[in-house]
Parts: sequence; structure tokens; C-alpha cells
Amino acid sequence: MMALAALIAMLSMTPSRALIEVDITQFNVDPLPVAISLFHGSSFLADREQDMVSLGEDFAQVVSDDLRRSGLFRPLPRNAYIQRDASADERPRFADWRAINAQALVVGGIELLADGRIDVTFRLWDVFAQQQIAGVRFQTTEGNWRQIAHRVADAVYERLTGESGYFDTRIVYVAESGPPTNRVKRLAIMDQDGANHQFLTDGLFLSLTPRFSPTAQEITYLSYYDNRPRVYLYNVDTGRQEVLGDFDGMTFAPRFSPDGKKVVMSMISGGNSDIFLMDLPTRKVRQLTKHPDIDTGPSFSPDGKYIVFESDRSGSQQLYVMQANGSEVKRISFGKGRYKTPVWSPRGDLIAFTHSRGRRYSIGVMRPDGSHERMLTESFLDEGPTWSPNGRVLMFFRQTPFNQAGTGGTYSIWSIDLTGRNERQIPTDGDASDPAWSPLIP
Amino acid sequence: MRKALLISILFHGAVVGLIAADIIVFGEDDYPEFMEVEIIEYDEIADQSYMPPPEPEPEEAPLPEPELEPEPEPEPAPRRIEEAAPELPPPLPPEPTEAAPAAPVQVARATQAVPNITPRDKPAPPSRFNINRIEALLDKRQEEEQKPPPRKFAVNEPDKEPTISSAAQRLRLASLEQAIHTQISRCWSAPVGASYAETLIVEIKIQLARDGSLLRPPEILNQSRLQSDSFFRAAAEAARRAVQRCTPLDLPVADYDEWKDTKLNFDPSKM
Repeated sequence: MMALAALIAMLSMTPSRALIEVDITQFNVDPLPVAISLFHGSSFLADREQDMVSLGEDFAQVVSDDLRRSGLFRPLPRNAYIQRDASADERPRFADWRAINAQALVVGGIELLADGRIDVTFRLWDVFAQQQIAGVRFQTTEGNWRQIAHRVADAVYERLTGESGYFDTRIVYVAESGPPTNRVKRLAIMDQDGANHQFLTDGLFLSLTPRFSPTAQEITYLSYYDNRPRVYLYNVDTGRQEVLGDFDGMTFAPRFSPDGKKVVMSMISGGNSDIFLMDLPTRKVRQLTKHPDIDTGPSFSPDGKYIVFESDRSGSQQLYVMQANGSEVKRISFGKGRYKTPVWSPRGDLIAFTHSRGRRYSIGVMRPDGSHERMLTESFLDEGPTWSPNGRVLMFFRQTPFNQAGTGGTYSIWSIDLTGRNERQIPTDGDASDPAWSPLIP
Repeated sequence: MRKALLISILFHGAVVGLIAADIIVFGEDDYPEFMEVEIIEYDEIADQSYMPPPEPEPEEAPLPEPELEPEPEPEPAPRRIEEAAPELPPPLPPEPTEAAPAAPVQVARATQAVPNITPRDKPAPPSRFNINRIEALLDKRQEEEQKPPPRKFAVNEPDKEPTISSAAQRLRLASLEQAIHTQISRCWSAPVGASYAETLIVEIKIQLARDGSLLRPPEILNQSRLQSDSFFRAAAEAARRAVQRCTPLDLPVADYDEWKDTKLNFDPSKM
């Protein structure tokens, strides 16, 4: 079938003489110009008509902001649009969109239904090919419109890049407040764009290193509840929390396995830290590393076969990969400086980490065999990378010190994409650290 | 080193414990609110590419043509047209350029030769699928030899060397290639950061009019991968848009015969 298709492809080439063949190897790195037309608002009830019209504007803005922040798209300014009345109900006037150099066009509508829900329709057009390349209709509660806008942005991103999107996601992070001597650290959650912010824990007990389960409904984190640092599970939907095993030693640095059924973490016992794996249904625990030095920061590969972790067994913190059963430990980082907090990309091709050398910190990536290492950021303190579900963007936190000595300062969450060119601060209400990116919301 | 880290961890734990013991008790309203799970229903919606345009636009008059999409099984062309309609990417209306005489340009799927401004003789399609000829087909050079004489007499063109062996000719070709590369690459938004981008090489065949405009929509060569690989589809469509955006190309008319048929290999592996 493939062979036949290839044959046909060959046949359709000019048979009579060598045609000019040109390898295009340079390209334009500018973001793709796209047009996001206003979503046309309408209502079953006449007195809500105006609300729907302005909701349509807000909706288009959320879609537009998502795409712009990705760094891959450049939404064209709306006042440049020639066709102002584009809707999901008819073919656009392509010439008008070509004239402003829009390569893709998003059109849509929002209608308030008699039952109080909203009906959102959108279409994505390839302006040059004059083809509809995506079209979806959603129905949901009116208050949930932002999530639908993120889904529309995801659909556009996915169709134009081939890669799944990451806009309909949440970030859980550690919200910090209070003076350095009496710091309150509690878990907070927000949409990927900073909207819909909520606190998850009350700040009575220090909460650290939150991590999402692959189902996005559960978070595992470290809490100092009752003055004992232990790993907890938190269900986002129900608010239910439980401690993960009551060990003698301190447990920390937890992370879910890709199937969500296990948690891998570090435990200190006997003055040493090793890596342990807990099976969630049975609560059985298995020790994976047994080494007199500190092993911590474990993270599974997306196929569940390997675990990357940090260890100082060579004398300084470096990254190691082992089989998920703890065998065949192999060092993968060999550069100068220290490597820590490794995280395996959800698409499997890279491992992100924190790198420090002297007083400079970076977020970097390398292939799982340790090759192709490159740093994406650099600052006084960048730490704790977390991947977008499509493995194309990283979030991390950054400390901006008050003075040269590096004391105090503010903590904020940033994102960087794999090109290293698109660095952005994520808006949070107050200081924020240790972000964890959720999978796409199911 | 290790001791330092352990001490640091334990010390932090102790400090936190002290802080926690002292901490202000938060009021009721600071208590976490739990997420409401919203129900979302969604559906793919109909492809509107076939809808009649909002108002009659002369240049978009529907011209049902078979797209140059190789289908696995050879079938008589007319059936394909109907079949293609619901599923496959819709036929591309020709770009609205006066230079392009409409439908008959596409010849690949037609059962008989269609008059064409590039009078190139092709074997009749049925013979193409003769399995016994596959070897011959794979060897383009051999096939060329079997061809009727090239069409160069059909086109009014300046005198030139009959072969491309001369240095002058090679130089001319190289400068043509450079001109095409420069003009197309500035319109190409490559799949930056896609996984395994180095495998996303897209081959596109174009046919140009004398004014450098497209005589027909650019043809993506690896059609089967287009259907099966979403990364490749996105990369291929981006390459096609590059061609559509940056035509008409500005190329020397004197060399029209050299560039009227051009194959472009979009290779993002150098990123």
C-alpha cells in the first residue's frame, strides 16, 4: 500500500526530463500569522444578547492569547481585518484574509441556549488552500466558557503543528506569602494562563513539590502536617487528602508513574536517601536504589520502563537512568556543575533538569542517553522544570534576589519553549514556586 | 556534600516545624474550594469547504476536478471524483490568476490525455499500473529513453544547449535554484521544535506559468503519509502555504522552460 502510493507519487513526477529540484533548507522563524475572528454571540433570550456579544469578544481574546503565548503564532490585530462579519455559518471571503496575510483563520459563534447552556461552534480555515481544516461544536455551561476557548486554541494548535495542544491544562504550584522568617507555603491551582486561581491547602502546614497524576484529578505532594514531612495524595475533585504510607523516615520528591498507579519517591532512613516505589492499590513499597549516597528526584519515562534520578554518588549531583526495577544504573550527565530535578518529557525524547554552576542556574534539556545537552534559560536561580503535556514547553520558577548577595527576593513562575526563545512570566497573585503542569484535562 | 544536603533537609524540616506550630489560623473562607467538574459535549462539525460561497464570486465558481491525490487502487477517474467528496481534503479551486486556464491542467488522474499548455506526453494511465513495468518505472533514466522526444520544440524558447552538461548551463541552473530558494524560504514557517523534525522532509511539485504564478495547486508528493501522520500533514501544509504565499516567483522568462516544472524539497533538518 505504501509502496504503491510511493510508486504513484513517482509516476506523477515529470517523466520527460530532469526538472529543477530545489532543497529549501532555510525558513522563516517568525510566528505564523493567523486571524481569530470575533465569535459571533447570540442568545435565546433577547435581554442576554448583548452579554453574548461581549462573551464572543472575550472568547476570541482567550483563544488569541493562548496562541500568541505559544510563540508559534502571531494573531493579527483585529482592526486590520477587512471582513468584519466572518462567521461560522458561511465560507469566508478568502481574498480579504489573504490580503492581510493571514495564513489560517478561526471563525466561530456562541449561542446561549434555552436551557441556559452555551453552544460554541468554530471552524479553522486554511486561507491559501481555501479549505476547512478543523471544525468542532461544544455545548457546556455558560461559566465554563474559558475552558472551551482553551480547547478551541488546542484544536487550532494541534491542526497547524501536528502536535497536541496544552492550553486546556492547569498548573498547581506553591503560593508563598509572609516574611522570610515566617513564610506561608500552600498549594494553589490555576489555569495554564493564570485564570481561575484557587488555594488548595490552607497554609497551616508547609506544602511542597506538588505533582499531577496522569489523570489530572490527583496531586501528590510533600506536607509537613503534624511536623512530619511526608508524601500525601490530594484529590482535586473531592478535596480528599491522605498520607501515602506511614514510614519511619521522611519521604519526599514524589512523582506518579505514567499509568498513575504508582508513586516513586525518596525516603531518608538511616541517614541516607534512596528511591522507593509504592504501588497505590496495594500500598506495597519496593526499594529501587540502595546506595550509601543520596539518590533522589526520580521521574519515570513515559513508557514506564525507565526512571531518571539525581545522585551524588560520583561526588557531585549528576543525573542517572535506571530500569524501572532499579537495575542497570547508568550515569547520563557529565558536564561541569551540578545537575538536579530531572523530569522526563511526556513525549519521551528529552529529559529536562536544573543545572547550576557557580552562582548561575539554568533549565536545560538533554536526550535520555545524555547527548544533545543544551541550556534554555539562565538566571540567578532557575529551578524545578515541569513539562507541558505535549513536551514542547517547560515551566519553572525563578528567584529574583533583592541584592547582590542573593538574599531574599521574589519568586515567580516562568515558561520557556524548546527553542529557548520564548520566555514568559506566568501571572500569579503573589510569590509562586515549584509549578507542576497538569495533563490535558479530560 | 551529601552530609550538607542531609543537614539542609533536616534543618529545613525543623524550621518548618517551628513555623507551622506558630502559624496563624486561617478563617473559614480561606478553606479550599473544590473544583466543579463541568460537563462538555462536543462534536466534529461538517466540513464547510464545499458550501457555496456567501455570494457568487466568479473566481470561485465550483470546478470539480480530481485532485492529484494518488489513491492506492487505480480506478477510472470519474468515480473517484464523487468518492473523494465526503472524506478527502476537498479539491482545490485554482488560484484566481488570469494566466491559469482552468480545469484541464491536471492530467495525472485523467484517463486520456488532456490538452495542456505543457504538452508533455505521458503514457496512458492504465499502462502505468502494469506490474511488469515496475522495474522500468523505478528506473527513471530508462523510462526517459523510452519517451517520445522531449517537448522542448513545442514551446517557444531561445536557443540553448541541448544538454545540461555545459558549465554555463549548470551555472544558470544553480542561479535559478538560488533564486527559487531565496524567494520560497522567506515564506516558509518551518515546524520549529516539532519532535523528529529532521524526518519531516516535504516534497512538493509545482507547475508555473510564465509570469511565475502557479498553474495549479502545489502537489504534495507523499500523499499516504499525509493521511497517516499528523506532524507530516502539518509540515506539508505549511510548505504548501509557503509556495502559495510566495508565488508568483520572480524568475527570468528566458529560462522558463527550466523552471516551469519544479520540485521543492522542504527540509527542516537544518534547524
